[in-house]
Amino acid sequence: MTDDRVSSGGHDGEHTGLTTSLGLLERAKAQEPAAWSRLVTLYSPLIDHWCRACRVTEHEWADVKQEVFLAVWRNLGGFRKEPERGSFRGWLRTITRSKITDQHRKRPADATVVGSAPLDHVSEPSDGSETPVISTELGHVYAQALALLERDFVPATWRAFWLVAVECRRAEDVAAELGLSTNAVYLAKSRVLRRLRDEFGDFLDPPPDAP
Amino acid sequence: MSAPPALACLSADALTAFDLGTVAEHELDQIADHLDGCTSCQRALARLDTSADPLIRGLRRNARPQPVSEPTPVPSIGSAFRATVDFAPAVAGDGATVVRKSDTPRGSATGPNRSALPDGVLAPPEALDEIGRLSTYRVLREIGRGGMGVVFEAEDTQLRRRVALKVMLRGSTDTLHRERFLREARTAAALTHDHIVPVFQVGEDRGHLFIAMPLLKGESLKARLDREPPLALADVLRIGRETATGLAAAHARDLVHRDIKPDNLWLESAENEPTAPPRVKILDFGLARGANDDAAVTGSGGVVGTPAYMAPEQARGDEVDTRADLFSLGVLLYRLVTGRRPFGGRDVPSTLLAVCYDTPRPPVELAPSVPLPLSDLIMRLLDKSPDVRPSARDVVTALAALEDSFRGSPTASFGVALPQVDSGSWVAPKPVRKAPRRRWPVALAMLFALVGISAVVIVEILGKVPKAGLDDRAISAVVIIEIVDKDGNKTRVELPVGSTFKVRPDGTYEIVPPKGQPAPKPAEPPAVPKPAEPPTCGLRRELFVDAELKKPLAGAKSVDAVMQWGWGENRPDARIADGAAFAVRWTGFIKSPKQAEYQFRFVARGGLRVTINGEKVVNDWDAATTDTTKKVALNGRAQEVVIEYRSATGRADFAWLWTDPVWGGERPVPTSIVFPDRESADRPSAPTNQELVQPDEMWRIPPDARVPATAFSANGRFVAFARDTPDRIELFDRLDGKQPERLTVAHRVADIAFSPDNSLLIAGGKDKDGTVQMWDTKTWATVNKLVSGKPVARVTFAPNGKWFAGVGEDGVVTVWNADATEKKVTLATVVTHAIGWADGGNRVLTLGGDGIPREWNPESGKKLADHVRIATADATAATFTADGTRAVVASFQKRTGTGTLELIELATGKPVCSATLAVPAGRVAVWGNGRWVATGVSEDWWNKGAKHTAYDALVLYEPAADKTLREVHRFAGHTKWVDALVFGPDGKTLASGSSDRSWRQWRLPARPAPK
Repeated sequence: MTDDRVSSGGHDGEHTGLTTSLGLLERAKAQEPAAWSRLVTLYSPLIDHWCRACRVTEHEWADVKQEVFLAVWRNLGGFRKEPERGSFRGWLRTITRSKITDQHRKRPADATVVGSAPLDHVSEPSDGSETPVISTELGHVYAQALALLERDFVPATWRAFWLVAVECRRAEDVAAELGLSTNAVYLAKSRVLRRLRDEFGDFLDPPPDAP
Repeated sequence: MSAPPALACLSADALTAFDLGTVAEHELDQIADHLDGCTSCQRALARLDTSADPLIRGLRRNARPQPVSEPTPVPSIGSAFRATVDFAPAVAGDGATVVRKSDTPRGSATGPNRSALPDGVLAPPEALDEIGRLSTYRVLREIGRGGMGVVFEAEDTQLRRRVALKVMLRGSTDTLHRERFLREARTAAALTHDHIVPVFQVGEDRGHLFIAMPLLKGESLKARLDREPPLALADVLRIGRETATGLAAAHARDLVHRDIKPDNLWLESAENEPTAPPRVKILDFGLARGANDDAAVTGSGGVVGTPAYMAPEQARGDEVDTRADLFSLGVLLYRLVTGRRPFGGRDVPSTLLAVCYDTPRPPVELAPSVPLPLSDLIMRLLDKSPDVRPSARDVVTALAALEDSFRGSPTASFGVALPQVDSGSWVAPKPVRKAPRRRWPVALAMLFALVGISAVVIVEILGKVPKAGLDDRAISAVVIIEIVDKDGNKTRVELPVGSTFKVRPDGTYEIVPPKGQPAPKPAEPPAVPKPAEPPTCGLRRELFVDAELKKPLAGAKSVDAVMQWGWGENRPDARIADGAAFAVRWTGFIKSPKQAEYQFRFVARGGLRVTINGEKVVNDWDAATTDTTKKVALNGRAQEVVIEYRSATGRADFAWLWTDPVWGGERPVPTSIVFPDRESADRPSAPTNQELVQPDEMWRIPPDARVPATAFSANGRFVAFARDTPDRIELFDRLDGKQPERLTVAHRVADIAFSPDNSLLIAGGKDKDGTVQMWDTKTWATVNKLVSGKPVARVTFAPNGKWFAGVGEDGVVTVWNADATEKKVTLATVVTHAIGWADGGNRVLTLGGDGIPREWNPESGKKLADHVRIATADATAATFTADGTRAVVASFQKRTGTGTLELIELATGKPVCSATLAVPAGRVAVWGNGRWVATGVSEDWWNKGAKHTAYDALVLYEPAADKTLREVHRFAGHTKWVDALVFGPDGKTLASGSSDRSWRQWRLPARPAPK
């Protein structure tokens, strides 16, 4: 055991070597502080989104979020990503919902809150089908994941990936536009996608098959 | 890095894998190399359609139209535990890697894979021995990596010197971060100090920020701690002093390190003198960034600190100043002298909770070889309040003095090895007990040094039955030892030089004096009675989800609800579910330190059965509430205990208290209830203000300062108290027990009050100007500061919210208009005993020194009426009821030693009911129209009285049918006089502040008011 068990993530080379091949979920489970911090960044906007949907006032968001992440932290070890048990996002939604319920209960009777909270706003998806709500939810996660990842790449690499993978541009055109070789564009795309898969693959659960 | 020869053409699968990014990193380069020269594969790649891939589809559907340059900042997290979510990779402080480890072979596991470096950090190499270039440096090899950057060994091409080059991997695109990094690094570079690693250069090359530092010989303190042998006390003192010296220099420039820990302290070994002690160099000054830095929050790799070494204010995400480093230094010293960290937990959140709320055991309790002054110094560094912590300069002085004092004493003691404990462990918090042990640590330390075994082992032997197999040890100095035999009897013995201390396998011991000397005599027993040792229990708990102990609940695992503080009132987890019946059975043993009769009190809401050694002590299974006091003889050995508790409310309202036979006062027997660690989804919310049944202490906050005033908000939601040293008002939310605010005031506070609409909090100051400060309770911003001209003694708000009044220490009353605060009226009164309001706030009520209550017009300041005289010169305290129709007056005749407590009708001047007092009451409080009356004992009496106990400090009365004020309860707890006393607005609680440096909230009994 090291002196700073909670903070030693990636401190020694051995650990660093290990973490590059592990996804964020696994690293967060291994209680690696950096991974945990990334996980928080990844999901903060989504929890904000849910809070907003549940009419949690803005100054209560922080409390809810803190409660949620504390619960996630406590229970992450037991979380398994299995098809029948649902996604991480679904799990997080369950936790958030209960924390929001707690938050509403905590309010003093004399506090002026307009109506009671319509908790149904945050509901389980009825089935695996794509609904606009889920699309928005996933959007938050994608946006954060990409933003986090972008920091690890030089702008040209990132731009090349973005144009080819997201904006469906042809590699040759992108190469010409950015002054790179076509090869470099492909490499950029491959690199970023690989990192995206490795690190955030567990969280970007796209729907099985959409039309 | 040598590229393999170009491969054969790639299969369609391999190309698809490449395109979708499922190829391993090391193959990527090979494929790229091949593609470079193979147009057919390029074409094949261009033809591939991977748009059906879920990730690509997800990206195209969900990614925003444009790349988001910044993740949404999450500053809103930053309430109480910002740091639980944004603690940054502490690895960024990779102190251990800044320096070449000349004698440590670096295996492949520690040699990071260079291909994992982001693109283009280094410019291409220009010589065989280098791996690349950066600015004017030849980068020779990578020697370490952290979350924030990579550290290379490099050579300055101009000066031809070897340096450690720290290159930041991220954030260079972020202007704010970049500016801040450069600014702080420049500040650090300007700092030249013997104990701080200097910065040679700060720069930027092709968008990569870097710092050049000297390559140092030696190792980090962390590396040193990880290997044998443990540090000697002399080393600890030196390391602590040198670190503090470096910190003092930085603090003089207002530079905060924010991440002091063993990793960031380098022990530089001297180049030419291998025997000289290594010198401390603080690494990474100015690189650790603030907790309020959004870049850190968003996970870009900023350092916030290392949880176990973080100051509480840092853990909470508050402003951090130089004093945070001193806390970290305290943690470091604690770790060095005890071998354990003072705070820890199974994960980061619980570590941070521990940092914020736990008081560690003093080092001397864990390692008796630690000199007491050092232990005390560490405890002051670890104070939750930054104000209490000594400055770095003071620490230097204190440690230097300790070093000097030890230099003059036997070297054995100075060189004593400190205990080596598993470095990952931490100390479980335990109530701090002050024991008179001034002489012992040094004496014991000497003994340990001489017998040559670690202190921890000795303590165990001394504290318990001596272990078998110990050799005879020669003792060659005079020491005093405390021997605890197997029956718990303690003997202190002076051992002359040359004695031999023998421990026999059966647990007995023998002291053989040196030839020609008499046998040792037991030392004088201490004269001061010590508080009794608490009985201890070892109990196994079973939880049942019915009230009849029939349906056991499996899988209970978390121990969240330790019922130390009352009835779990402020522990939201001390419940199973609202309204759900459950039962708990504890089985195990209870053991007293010695044979004695103990007085226990069992208080429970619900039924209770207690059996000790087969004897039924409590049998109240069907009762709704239980409150029983029993005397139980314990024989010093473990005795069987079975406790069964039944709750119909879902909450664990059960406490088990014992009375200290020496000092009085009830203390809880440490017992805990375990509830299943259910998923939070069905965990019930924080407790609401439920009906309270038994009078008891329910909440205690020891600010370790005097508490001159306390007040509830009118809606009962908040409670506040004023404290001194430093002068502050602490505010608590009674719903969750959290502390939303603490208000700093520039002067000593005499009294505080909330406005009836809860919108304002006012505080009257004891300063010579009599400042009355006013805060908005929504924002906690100061909205007004008024000057009354004289030090203020009391402040009060009119019930209608129109006015508030201040009573000066001279008894002059000033009335302000609550909205037009400039307007004030001074009443023509002096020596005011009490102030109140009549007619809903339209009249001011005063009780003058002549004992006559008067009514005044708060608008004009004119006197409206004189009442009949109600108090004599013997009055010690008085107050008016909320409706202004009655007064409570306490008086005491010192000559006769008796006093009275009266509830008086103002209209007639006659007492409604009264009680006799055996002690003078310095404070009285009344709730409603006299439903509850409470008295707090006064300073005078405490200074003189010696025969009374703390039990008399706070007494609750209620009016009885026979026109007496009946004593309802004595709240045991305060050990000194009461300075502040006020009832909660709901009539269910009482709050008190005392000169025993604690604030307490008490539960009143709930029952119908007497007719």
